[in-house]
Amino acid sequence: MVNELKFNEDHKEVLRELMNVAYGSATAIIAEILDAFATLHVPRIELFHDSELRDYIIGKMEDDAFLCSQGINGKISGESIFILNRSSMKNISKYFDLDDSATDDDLNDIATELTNILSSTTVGKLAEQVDSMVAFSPPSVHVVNKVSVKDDLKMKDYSQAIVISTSIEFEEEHIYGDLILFMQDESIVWIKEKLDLIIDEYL
Amino acid sequence: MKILVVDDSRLARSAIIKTLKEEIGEDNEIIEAENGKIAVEKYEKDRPELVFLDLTMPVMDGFEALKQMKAISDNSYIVVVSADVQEHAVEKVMSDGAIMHIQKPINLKKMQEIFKTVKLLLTIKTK
Repeated sequence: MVNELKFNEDHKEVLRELMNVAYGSATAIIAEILDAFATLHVPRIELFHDSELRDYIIGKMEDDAFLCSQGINGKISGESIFILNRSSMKNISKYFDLDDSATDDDLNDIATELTNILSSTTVGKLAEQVDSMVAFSPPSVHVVNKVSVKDDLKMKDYSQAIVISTSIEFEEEHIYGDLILFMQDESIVWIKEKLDLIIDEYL
Repeated sequence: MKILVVDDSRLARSAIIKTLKEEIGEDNEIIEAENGKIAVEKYEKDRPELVFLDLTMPVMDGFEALKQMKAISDNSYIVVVSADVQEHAVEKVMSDGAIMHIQKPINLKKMQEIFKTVKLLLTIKTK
């Protein structure tokens, strides 16, 4: 089973382009909601196992961050997690006319809405490109710190995580976020087969 | 026809070239570039008639490459093929001289639309 779950460089390259297309669609929707123009950057795709993921996330975290999770059901089955540092969240809140007095509840509301759009559009568009469909459970958001995030990243249920890391610049405001996809082993095997078909046809 | 295909993704370039060949056959010279900087250099040297241009690329993005290509020569038709589908991005590339903005991924139907437009523009140009 271990080999069946490994992605080679071609798999990663194809996945990067599929995620680029998917993330572009999601960003366009968010830009429309915020009435702002976002500069997109080429997303980085990295695959992590248990402790590697925790170290990666902790390394990028400020003191605390908003961790937004959403369940995914379908051929691509698992969970998506979007992590936004508090400073990015504060920057986003300015587009909703909130000042520095915005409470965590205010920020949670915004994060929930954005995660719902970002994660469902990105994963939905990814599924569409590999001729499939997915359903989502409602997102949940909570504030984590560098210590508690270790327990919050439920890596134990998954053998690896796909991290799509990108920054989005909305005009003056710099917003950085990591979208992490945890897929069940059967979904990884399934998506690899789909990626192999694309590789055979195009690469 | 000489055609320049610009995208940092091998998959995206390959998909464009494959659908191009399905639509207009094999008898065309296709040049590839993996970022905006290389694209501008090849554009200046090879003077393609048609360019497929991605926007989100390392080294030099498609927005800048489009401006530089248009400054070199206004004789090519430049089609933007991008995942960046923000209204603002579409408006910007169209005002900077692209003839179309097509959302990725490319498929045969979209390629047919592109060539319908290119043929129409060629007809207008020769009249």
